[in-house]
Amino acid sequence: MQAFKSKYRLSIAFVAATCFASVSWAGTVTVESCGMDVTVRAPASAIVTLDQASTETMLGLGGAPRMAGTAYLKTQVAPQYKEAWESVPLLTKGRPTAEIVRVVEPDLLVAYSGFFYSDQWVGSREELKELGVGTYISAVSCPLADQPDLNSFDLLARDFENLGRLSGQEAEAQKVIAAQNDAIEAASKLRLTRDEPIKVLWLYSVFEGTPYVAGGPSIPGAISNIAGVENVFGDVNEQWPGVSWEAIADREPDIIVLGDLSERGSPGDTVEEKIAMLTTEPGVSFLDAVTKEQFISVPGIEMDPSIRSVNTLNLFVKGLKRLGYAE
Amino acid sequence: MLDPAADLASSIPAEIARLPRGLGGVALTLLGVGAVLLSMVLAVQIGVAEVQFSDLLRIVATRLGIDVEPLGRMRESLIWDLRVPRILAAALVGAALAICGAVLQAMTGNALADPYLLGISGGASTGAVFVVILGFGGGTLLSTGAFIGAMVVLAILLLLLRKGGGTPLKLVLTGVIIGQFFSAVTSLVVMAAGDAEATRGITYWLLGSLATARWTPVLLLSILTIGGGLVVWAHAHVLDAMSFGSDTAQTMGVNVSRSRLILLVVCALMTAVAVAMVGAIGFVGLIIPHAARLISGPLHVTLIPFSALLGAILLIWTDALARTILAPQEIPVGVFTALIGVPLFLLLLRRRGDL
Amino acid sequence: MSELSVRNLGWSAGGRSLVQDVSFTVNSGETLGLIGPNGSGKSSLLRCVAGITRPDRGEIDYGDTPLRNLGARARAHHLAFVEQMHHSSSDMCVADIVGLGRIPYRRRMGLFTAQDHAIVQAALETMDLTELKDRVCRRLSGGEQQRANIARALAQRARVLMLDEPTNHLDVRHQIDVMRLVRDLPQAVVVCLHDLNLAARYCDRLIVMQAGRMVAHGAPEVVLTPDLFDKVFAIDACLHVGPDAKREVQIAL
Repeated sequence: MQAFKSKYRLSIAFVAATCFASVSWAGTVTVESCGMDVTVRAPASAIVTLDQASTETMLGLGGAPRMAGTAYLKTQVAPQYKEAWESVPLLTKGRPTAEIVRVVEPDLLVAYSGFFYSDQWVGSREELKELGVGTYISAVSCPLADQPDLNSFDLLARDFENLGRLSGQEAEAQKVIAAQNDAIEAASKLRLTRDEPIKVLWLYSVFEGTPYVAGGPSIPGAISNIAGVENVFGDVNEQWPGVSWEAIADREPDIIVLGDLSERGSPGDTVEEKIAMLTTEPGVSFLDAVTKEQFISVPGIEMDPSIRSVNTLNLFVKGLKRLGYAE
Repeated sequence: MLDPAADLASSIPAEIARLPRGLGGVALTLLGVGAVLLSMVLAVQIGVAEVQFSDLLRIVATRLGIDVEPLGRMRESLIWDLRVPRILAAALVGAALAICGAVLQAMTGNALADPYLLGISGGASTGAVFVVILGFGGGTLLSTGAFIGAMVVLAILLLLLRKGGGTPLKLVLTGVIIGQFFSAVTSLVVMAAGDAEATRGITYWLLGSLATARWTPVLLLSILTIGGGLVVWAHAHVLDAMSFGSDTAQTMGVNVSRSRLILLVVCALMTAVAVAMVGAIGFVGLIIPHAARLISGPLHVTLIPFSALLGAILLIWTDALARTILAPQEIPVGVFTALIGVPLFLLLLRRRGDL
Repeated sequence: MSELSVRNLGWSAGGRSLVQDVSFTVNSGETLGLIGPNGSGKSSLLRCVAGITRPDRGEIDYGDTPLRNLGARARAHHLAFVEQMHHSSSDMCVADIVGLGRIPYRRRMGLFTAQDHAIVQAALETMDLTELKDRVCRRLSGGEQQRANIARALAQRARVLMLDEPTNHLDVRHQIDVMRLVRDLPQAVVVCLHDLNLAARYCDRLIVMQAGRMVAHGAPEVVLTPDLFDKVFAIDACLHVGPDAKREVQIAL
């Protein structure tokens, strides 16, 4: 009895300690984000998301009632978030500026990358902190040097948790994380039909003759690891490096995943155009992956780290099965 | 005795109208200053957010300790931390570029000279991309990097011009070559770095944008612009003499090489700080001196102050336009000055009779 | 005491000696002509004397003050220099150009005083530019610009006036008018000339330069001998002095 009680007390103490580590006295919430402590009066009630990934994540966490504005829309918002999205004012379809953001008097800003917090965009983090506005940057943008084996999905989970805490949507966040973990677990149990490594090229876009592909620290990179395939450019330490057709041919991918950016509408964004480029480009047109049409198509925007990235994982798994590389 | 009518050139009609000196000049200067102040007051109310002049008065009153109902924190920040410095920056940068443009046109004897002829903006771009690529991110450090880059260019310029002291041709050639070199380095760094994120952090600065104006750099710029402007103005006679030929200037009691050095350094500093803060905004330095000349006449004792006033007014309004025409989007003002600048310049050339 | 006295002046550039061992004086009211073929160093000599280039050797005195002791402004009170013509596209009008001549007398940002105005006016009248005083530089012919330039030098009220080939772009009519005017000026004048006839007729004394050296110095009648014409200018000519003391160079074809 004595031993049980003390163990119980210890657990309570431990739980209490972790709670207090993140929640301080005056009803505020603090999380660490890319080198700065972000503190808001809990829960945040005037959240502004500065880009589409952040917007969809926040909506997916059920945060719409707490959002004061969204910005920077690249494609149609995913249908499941459409209604929630329409209930939040769209501040601007283009890039957010300091004035636009301040007009709605936010208490928390969410962005996928740090460059949003510069003088030319919405203002520096220090500046905004002094105004009492928290500036959150997705953990995917600043992977911790001391925890290198956290992949993009792990970092996304961290985002979900942090944002859940900041917006008082902890329960929703846990659900999203659980769904993501389920998909990851299902994918990692995949049985591949080949012993030698299956090589995958993740092609996002071709801009002015340069193909942009997924490197190591990216969602496709994480998906490749989970599914047990090899990302042909996984050795490149950039999220979206620009490479060359020769380099692609050199690495001989078995499968090519194509990002569908047809909503963006720039030349070469649709999947058809990308296939046409591959079949005509002399460097790569002879590859088996091209001649045998080993293509998997996913929405380009879901290749970026966001709440929708888990869809890419699922689509990829389906694609592997369809092409016969997995069962 | 001497018959001018026989000269073919004399038969060309119409001179450029100039205002009489003396009292007319003073009145016009006051009008100019008033126009700048009025522009500032009006422009502060233009933008994405609704701002009234009364809001501004309330902020000033609060800061002075007068008992008025204060504005909300965010709203006050929007007006006092963003709008007001931006308007001031527009006025100061416009004035600085116009003054430097006038000086460079006189020093090189070339009507197409502008402050960037010295290659300062090229150096500033390189400094800025170095800072951004080294991963310190945007923000104030970009400006510091840009300023350092600009100073490197100035040092090189002074070194190369040490012998033979900066004759117009040498000045133009040296500046252009240096500028081109550093622009190439900038492009190289931007392309080699390949990081879309870092590039985005710098793109709008490279195009020239007043969105980055904040109080601290604005105060620095104001010291330099006013101080530098006064130094330039004190050299008004020198500039007149130089635009007539440097040898002649020398014999007229002008210490040509020393004056050139002073003017060069002052202009380089003014341009460097302006560019470091807001990027390279083009056309202002090129066109304003010509436009000002139409009002003030070619003598620099009136041309310099009028260029400053006109430059300030132009940039205040161009920036106001740039942030409202596609609201809530902001067009970088550098894009706008080019769009407006070219037809204006053509108009000016026609008026002068060159086209 | 002469207004300008030069002793043993020497200047080299680029390893070549462009002016060697030149000495002369100029008095008030005198018009001294510098003549010589191209490359003889007459322009270089003039620029040394005007303080634009620093000579390697020699003494230049204005009145009793050496040139090097004169500050920039003081220098401008002693000498005025009119460059060889280059067509300016400036927006300055004639009155402005002439007004530049008052710079050595003005305070930093000072505007015109009544005295300045009067002096400018006088200079305009002397060069017959009063009607053109508001004409813009760009709209002036070469001759008019040149006259404006000379008027500017006059407005400077310097004791010595130096002109580098002032008649280059002028019509014959204007060439004669300018030279006549220059000759009648009360100042000491040193004028670099290409045209031998003008030099002969309107200069009180001549210096003939060849390869940087002064090969002849004195009154035109004394200096311009057929021998000189042949040796220095490689022409077959002689100086003819008319009954009214008008000097004229006659060149055999």
